[in-house]
Amino acid sequence: MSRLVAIAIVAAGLIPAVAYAGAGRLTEALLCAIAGAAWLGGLRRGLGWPGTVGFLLLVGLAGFAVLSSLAPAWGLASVAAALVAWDLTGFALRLQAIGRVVDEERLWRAHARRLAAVVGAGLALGAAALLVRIELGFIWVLLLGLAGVVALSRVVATLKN
Amino acid sequence: MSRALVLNLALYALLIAGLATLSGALLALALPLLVYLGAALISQPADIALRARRRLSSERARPGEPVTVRLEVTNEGRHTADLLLVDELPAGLELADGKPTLRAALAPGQSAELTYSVRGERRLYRFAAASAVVTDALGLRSRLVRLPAPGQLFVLPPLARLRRMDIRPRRTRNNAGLIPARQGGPGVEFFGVREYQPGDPTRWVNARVTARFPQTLFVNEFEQERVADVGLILDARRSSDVSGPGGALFEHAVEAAASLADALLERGNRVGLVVYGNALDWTFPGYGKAQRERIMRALARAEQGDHVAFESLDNLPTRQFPARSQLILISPLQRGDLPTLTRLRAHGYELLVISPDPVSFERAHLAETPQAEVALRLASLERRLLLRRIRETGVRVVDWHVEVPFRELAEQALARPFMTLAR
Repeated sequence: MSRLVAIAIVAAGLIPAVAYAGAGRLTEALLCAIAGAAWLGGLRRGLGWPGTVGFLLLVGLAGFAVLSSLAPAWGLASVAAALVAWDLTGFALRLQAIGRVVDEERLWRAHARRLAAVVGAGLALGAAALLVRIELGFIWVLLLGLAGVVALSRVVATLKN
Repeated sequence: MSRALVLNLALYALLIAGLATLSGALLALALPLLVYLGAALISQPADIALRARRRLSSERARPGEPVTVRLEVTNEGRHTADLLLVDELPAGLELADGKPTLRAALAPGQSAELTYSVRGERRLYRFAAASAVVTDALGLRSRLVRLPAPGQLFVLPPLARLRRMDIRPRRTRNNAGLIPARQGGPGVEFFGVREYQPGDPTRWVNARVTARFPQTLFVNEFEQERVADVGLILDARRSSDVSGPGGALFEHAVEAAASLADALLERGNRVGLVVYGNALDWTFPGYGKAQRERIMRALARAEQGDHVAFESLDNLPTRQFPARSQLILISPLQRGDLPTLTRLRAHGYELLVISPDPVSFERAHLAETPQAEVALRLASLERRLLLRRIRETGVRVVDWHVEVPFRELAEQALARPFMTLAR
């Protein structure tokens, strides 16, 4: 199962790196590769924080790619790949810290299935959002943004509880 | 940093950047994260019904002996519970093998068992509960559930097998045993001579005495051997104790009490125990293996304590012990204990004091400075004076330097101690 996590991390680093390299932005490509490599190294040592930093960095670089006029599909794929790698890293580390895991293979399979469904839905929604274009006025954007912020605050409050 | 916080950080960053730059593409990037967060919120099980049951390979163990703990958790709810089970170890117990954690996804009705081994020093260890961290399907949100799973483990005191334990109480019981009863009759030890009575075996005839009184036939009489009532009193007053890096003097006293109880019960005597410290922990006198187990368990849970009512031995429940029985006090002794010991003697008890020496115990742990040397000499003089005063009241005192194993001490000081003293 560690191979699955490693593949996910490599993919998370590689997808934005290829996108940046294709656009001739070698510095950003290198940064993505380094983030992926550091994440992988951290996992080998059983550390959690390189994964957290790598995830945030790769999501940030995916956003930057969109702002830098790279194809938004690359950014979406990068975010999804980073999310998968981050989730699998956390799952692997949680299992590693436990004395005994009952039917580990079944747990992995079930988790991978759930994750695939969730990320698949996210990707589909994201792709739809990229393809469907609706013109909104500034007021609507502001209102929707406020609603989003309020909703997210509620989510955070719920998570805290 | 919690996973939920990291996810929210990434999500907020994308949303705020998207709004600030009016970039729909950036907002679209946030969607996979948003869906992930929503899925985690939805998949949190509303009702969690878990039941835990604990089994120990043995409820009693020797110090350092590993005991296997099995904790079975069953999902009695209607949803699959993805849980991390963490057993709560009582303070002082250490892991011998395995880890007290388990990760499992339990379908309704399914069970999982957590197994590990523990060991500890003499004490009563009470297991209370286990903690189950039930997470959502993606491990983002968790809820802590405490599962009651009671259990107890007695780690019994170490024991020295005493080969001989001769005591001589003023009164014995009627059953045959190994304790001299101060009465003539069938036995082994010579007790005296008396006139021949019909039925006496001829091999009992004392030729020498008969030769001096030709008209009368004299026979030897032997001392009857019976079982006796013995009361063990363990001094658990904190003010009596001394602790060092290697442990407390009290542990040696507990070992002595356990060894004495074991030896006395094995010889058929009726033995009771009082642990005198924070409270009176009284084990009513009894015989046999069941009584041995009761006493060992009482000694396993014995703890030192401070209580104003038990600062001195004045409140010792002496009337609980049968009159004129043998009392054995295991105590480092304090200055104020002398009147109580005198009173016990006056009540007719045969009293034996086994006194672990706190001065020599402390000397082993103190740095050698002139001040310490003077203090130790003063303490030693004070103790010798106290022991002498106690001996003057007719109490037999065994001064125990605990670097000598109790078995060795018992062989020397308790093997044949009372024969000359009592006659």
